[in-house]
Amino acid sequence: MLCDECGQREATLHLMAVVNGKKTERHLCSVCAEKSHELEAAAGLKPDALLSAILKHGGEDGRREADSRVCSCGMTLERFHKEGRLGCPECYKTFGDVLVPMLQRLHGALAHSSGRLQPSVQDEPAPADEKPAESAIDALKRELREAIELENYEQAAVLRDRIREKEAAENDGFMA
Amino acid sequence: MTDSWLDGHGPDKDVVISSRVRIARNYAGLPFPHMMDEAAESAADEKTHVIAERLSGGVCERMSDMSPFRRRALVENHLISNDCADNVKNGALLPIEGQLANIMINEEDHLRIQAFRQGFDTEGALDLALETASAVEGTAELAYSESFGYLTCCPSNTGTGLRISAMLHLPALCITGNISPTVQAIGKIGLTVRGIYGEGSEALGNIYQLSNNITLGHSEKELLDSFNAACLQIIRNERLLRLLLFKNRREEIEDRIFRSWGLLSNAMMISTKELMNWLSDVRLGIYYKLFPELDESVPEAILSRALNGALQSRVNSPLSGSELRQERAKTIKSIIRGI
Repeated sequence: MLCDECGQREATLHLMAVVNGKKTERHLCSVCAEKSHELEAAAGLKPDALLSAILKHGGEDGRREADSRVCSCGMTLERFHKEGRLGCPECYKTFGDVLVPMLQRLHGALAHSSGRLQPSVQDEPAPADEKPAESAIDALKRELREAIELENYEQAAVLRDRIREKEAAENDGFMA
Repeated sequence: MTDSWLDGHGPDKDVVISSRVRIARNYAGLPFPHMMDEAAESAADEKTHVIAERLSGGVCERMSDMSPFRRRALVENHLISNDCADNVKNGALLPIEGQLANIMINEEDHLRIQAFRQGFDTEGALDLALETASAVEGTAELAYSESFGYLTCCPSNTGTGLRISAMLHLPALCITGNISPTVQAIGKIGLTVRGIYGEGSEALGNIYQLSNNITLGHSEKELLDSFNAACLQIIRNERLLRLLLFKNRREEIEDRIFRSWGLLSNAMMISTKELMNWLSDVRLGIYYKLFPELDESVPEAILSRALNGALQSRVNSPLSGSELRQERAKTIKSIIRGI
């Protein structure tokens, strides 16, 4: 069986996770396993390692893309997965689509609910995008950015999955 | 607020030693403490000083200014967390003027407001914590979003940033082997129960902390209500089992209690572990009215003054293991005699 990540080397590490009754499997070669910190997470059993293991296996469909998003504070998804801590308030916007399902698992709820008066927080207006002719994937990516700006994270998660599907379809076609 | 703020009073004090509500908040526009560079630290510092002026009479106790013993003593008295005590880089404590409350600075979040109450009074603690949080809100802009509520460093705290907890003495549940089932049942409703003293899964002195895990998707009032319901159930179970123990195993329990009393009040060298075990029995003895002459404040006074941090803080120097055990025994005797 070939590695899920690189598709080249033989998979020697087989990880199975059952989260909320849903079973996911990942098969990695030793090189990709080392790169992705899977072994640390599996062996660690520290709360943040456990959290990051759940994060990785929870909403995945088997093929993981390298998510290179970096928040303005310097926090990356990879570091968050490892440490279980965010870097700054902006991280909630930057990584909103990942946080929403995670918060669903942690708290069983998404929306904040409190009767208290809140301080006024001014959201920055979304930057105007320049639009040359867009491909379907570009359009979806733009919608994803907009959804995040509007803090509509459920929609963002749906868009993210559709983008992945489209990109996967394109890649398969290319390699065939 | 003194270190020894616990003196054995409060509602349901026979089971609930104290209640605490913690509220986590962060400054808007700044990285969370573990990601702050020097500039961010200064900016946070300035905001903290404004809060100190308003709420603690300008008092801001830096961890770096305290001896390690003093910091340990504060942890022993449940006034700060271990993480706060260990943060000598930029950790601090704001004692709220005239209240049983304080704010830990630069723990995992910029601000961790804590309110304390003796006995089972989570509602009182919550009111005080929210009042303090409100005052803070009027002084500094806080990180908040409509979707996620108050933004915290760890997503497990986001939303209300609220942690309600109570310290419970559960000797009967322990003696009858009912702690495990209780822990499991509690886990199913979004709360946790863990031993306060001791390493890992140990629960020295049969003292446990009950607290909520969930902070998002429920209002503060809802979280309080579900916490209180669970706590009341545990209190009832503990009292019922204490009655049964006394009814069915009276001689055995009395013997155990009086032996522990004998050792606690007469031994010349006492380890922390021995103290916790004997004190648990003596507390139970107080509940069974076996020590009519003993003041109710004695167990809390002992825990406040006879653990390692407090003993060394008093002489402001390190003590060897043997010295600690001797000093502990002396301190206990003087407390029992009301000195």
